[in-house]
Amino acid sequence: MKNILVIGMKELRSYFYSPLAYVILCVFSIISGNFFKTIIFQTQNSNSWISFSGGLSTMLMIFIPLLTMRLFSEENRSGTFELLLSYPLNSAQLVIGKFLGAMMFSIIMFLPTLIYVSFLYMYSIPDTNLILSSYLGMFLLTMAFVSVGIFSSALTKSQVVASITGFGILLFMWAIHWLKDNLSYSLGKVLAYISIAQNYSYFAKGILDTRAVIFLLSIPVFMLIITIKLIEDKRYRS
Amino acid sequence: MKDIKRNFRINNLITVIMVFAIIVIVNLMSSYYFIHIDVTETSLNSLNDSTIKILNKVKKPLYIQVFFKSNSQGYGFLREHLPEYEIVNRKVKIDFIDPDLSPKKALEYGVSNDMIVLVYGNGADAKREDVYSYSEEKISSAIQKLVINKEPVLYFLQGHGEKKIDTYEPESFSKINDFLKESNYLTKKLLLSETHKVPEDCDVLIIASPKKELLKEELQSIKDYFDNSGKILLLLDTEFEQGVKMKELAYYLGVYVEDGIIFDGGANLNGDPSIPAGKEYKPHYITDNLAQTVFPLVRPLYESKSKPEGDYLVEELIKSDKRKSYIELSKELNDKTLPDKDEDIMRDAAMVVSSKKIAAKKEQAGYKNIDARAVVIGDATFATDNFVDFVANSDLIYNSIEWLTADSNVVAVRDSDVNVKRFITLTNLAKSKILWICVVIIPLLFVLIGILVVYRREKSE
Repeated sequence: MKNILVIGMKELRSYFYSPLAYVILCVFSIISGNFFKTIIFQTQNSNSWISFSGGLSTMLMIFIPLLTMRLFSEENRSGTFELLLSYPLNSAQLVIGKFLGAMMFSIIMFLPTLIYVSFLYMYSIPDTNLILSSYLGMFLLTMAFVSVGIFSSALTKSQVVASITGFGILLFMWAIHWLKDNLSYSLGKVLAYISIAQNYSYFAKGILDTRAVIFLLSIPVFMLIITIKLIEDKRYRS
Repeated sequence: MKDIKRNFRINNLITVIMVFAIIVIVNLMSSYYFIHIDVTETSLNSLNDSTIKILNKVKKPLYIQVFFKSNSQGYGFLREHLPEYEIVNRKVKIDFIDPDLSPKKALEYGVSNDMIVLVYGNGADAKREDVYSYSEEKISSAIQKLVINKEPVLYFLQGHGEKKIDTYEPESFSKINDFLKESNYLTKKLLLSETHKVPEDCDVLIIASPKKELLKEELQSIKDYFDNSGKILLLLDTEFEQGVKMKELAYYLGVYVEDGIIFDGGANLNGDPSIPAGKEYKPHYITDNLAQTVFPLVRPLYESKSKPEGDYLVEELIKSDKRKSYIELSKELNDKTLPDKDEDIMRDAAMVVSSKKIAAKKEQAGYKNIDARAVVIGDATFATDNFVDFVANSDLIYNSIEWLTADSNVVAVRDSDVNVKRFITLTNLAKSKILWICVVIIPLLFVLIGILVVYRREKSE
């Protein structure tokens, strides 16, 4: 556990050493702030937080692969991966540690949205449960996205390829339910069940559904295990 | 060495496959045994209570075939909301069919336009109902039609200047009548001067503010109906002189009606004490989940201390504010907002009373068990077209009728307020605050911190 925390903190620190982190934070806060402002000004309804959190989750699909692309591919490219493997750490600690670091950075990325929430409380009586539910959904969603990003980063030496691959996988898992309108209802239901967007929409709307919780937790579990196996394979080869 | 490497990879592959299989199994199990809770404070995503009650009555498979094109109006709403029906009752099976893509199926069901076909049960016993709308109320109402065996019959007493049910006037009961019909109640008019007795098929007799006195025989026929497990909804008015027979009837139902009007300085509509909203709502089927109701000029009701022969259970359901209400005994109501110490009495009173009579005297001797029910409301205006849409006024009527027709299993289908709004009041100052902080200051802060960190790092290097 201690090793995981050490790696997690190291990753978090390394994010803040790079200008990319500040660019991501700045761009994310501009887009999310503008999105929040537009929705609130137009609807004048604090329940439109549902639309805001829906939009925020779509933004995560683009931003998270940018965050996670360097986690393993940078180490692979610069040749520090072999050095990393020589540390007294097992592959699981390494992967979970990096996952933790990326999660902590993502949570920091979300912090400005708390200021948006405070505006809602200042000027209206928002639905607290709805907001809490959407944050729970965003947390689970971020876990899923970060795990996919780490997996794609472990696949390649190129950061660009890693981020595009991560984005591609997420887009597929996100948008698979778009096909449901062209399929039979039963098949459409299966697609909706395995669609990240559909599962996240429960939380955004203020619904707690155990199916969505289990599905969104299954993604990081599966992705992290595959990544661990990939790293083990690389360790074995090296 | 090659074999070891291959075995290692095979082991890894097997592990991944096993993990995948476990995850699939867990997800499959969770799709059968799950919890689905709408945690929003205003139940934004839930079906309304009446729909849930109706769905709970579905005992056989109910197939909901939605023949809507994907670009049709309402398609998205149905896709979003109909799965909730399946969650409430697993006997409900939904299928979306595009009539253009499946013309054979559309032909089989005789579908031409966008519509929903509901089929209840299987084989020869299956019943079918078609819905040409995508509203929750219409769908629930159609389901109810399939589920119930017989439509309850509601008779509106007429012939004494009662509220009309078929003319669309502010003072009429036409909105209530239309809504009850949509909820699968059969509504009819009753002229006691012609029938001389309350018909056998009457499930509830509604007496809404007669302006003329009932004849003695008419009153007796209503009493006989009540003693024969009858169900009565009695709505009173402030015309005391013409209401002697109504007072007598109320007394027969176990309720004492005072000749006065409740003025409530505490719970009322827009600060008008002559329109009380009720302060105390006693737990009862009728008041369950009932928001405040407003009664313009309502008469005070009490449980009658002395009752006619028989066993009664009388409950005062909605009462005025104990500390701030008084009974105005004067008939001069203009501009009276304060109690007159000499004439008026400071006290609370009930506006809605329910009564159950469980034993009535036999013609010869002894008592017979009955299940007679009545709801007495000190006002009829609250349910007229003018006032029925105010807060929970309509719900009070529907709850009362549901309670009175408890045996029939029919639920009054309520309107759904899907787009509950929580308004934000934004002044120009508030708008500029949001704009500057969210779009300019926060991002700028990140840029400044970034520049500072990179500058310090380069300086130290």
